[in-house]
Amino acid sequence: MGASIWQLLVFLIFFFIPALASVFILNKAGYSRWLAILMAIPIVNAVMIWVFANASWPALNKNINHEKKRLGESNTSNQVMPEHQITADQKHGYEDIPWYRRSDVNSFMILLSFLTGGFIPGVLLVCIFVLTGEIYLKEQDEGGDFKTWGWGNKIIAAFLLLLNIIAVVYILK
Amino acid sequence: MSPETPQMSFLPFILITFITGLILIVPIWKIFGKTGKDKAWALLIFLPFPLGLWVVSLVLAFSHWPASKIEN
Repeated sequence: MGASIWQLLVFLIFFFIPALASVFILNKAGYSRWLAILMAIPIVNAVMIWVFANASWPALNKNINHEKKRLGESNTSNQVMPEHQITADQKHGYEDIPWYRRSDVNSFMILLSFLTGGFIPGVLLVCIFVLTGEIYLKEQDEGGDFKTWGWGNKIIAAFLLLLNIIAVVYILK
Repeated sequence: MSPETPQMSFLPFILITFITGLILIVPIWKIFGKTGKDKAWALLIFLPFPLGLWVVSLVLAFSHWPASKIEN
């Protein structure tokens, strides 16, 4: 028989991680987060990805401007600063940085991953966080910006991701 | 059932990877275009079977979208 327990686990995680990630994706696109439940149902999630790709997203810049013109109101109070412009002085404290961009959270996830022997895939997540943006430390430099993780971390993260991919290929072989 | 140890073949996983990849490459290409990122990110869907959709969905979820006003 081909189906063993670890294969069932792989299938569960296979649907669990995209469903969890789609909570953030739907939120960024301006939709309700509860639609992420649909991402956990096998055939429905493929249909949903197609529908999502062809729908118009409420949070896109052009749609927001269109909405503002329609309502005739200024929406400047809702404007959020782009991630790469986060500085300490402009009323943006350390707690305004998203949790996955903070150094302490990422360090804790690496620790958790090591303590559980890799059962919680914290290192994999941290690799993706590091490669998709900057991780901010609590310390500030002379300009008032938060210090970030260096290039060495990005190189190590890319190397670890590559190792993960090779490991998965080797396990499946 | 055969008495020898079960041998998992590599071929079904290549097939699953390419079938899911071919079904999803078009919408994911469009989604990356809408977010304002490079559309070539969608090619990551062709990573080996479980990793393709994981990496694509996590990159979409936690990276900066140039075209979006909402920053989570």
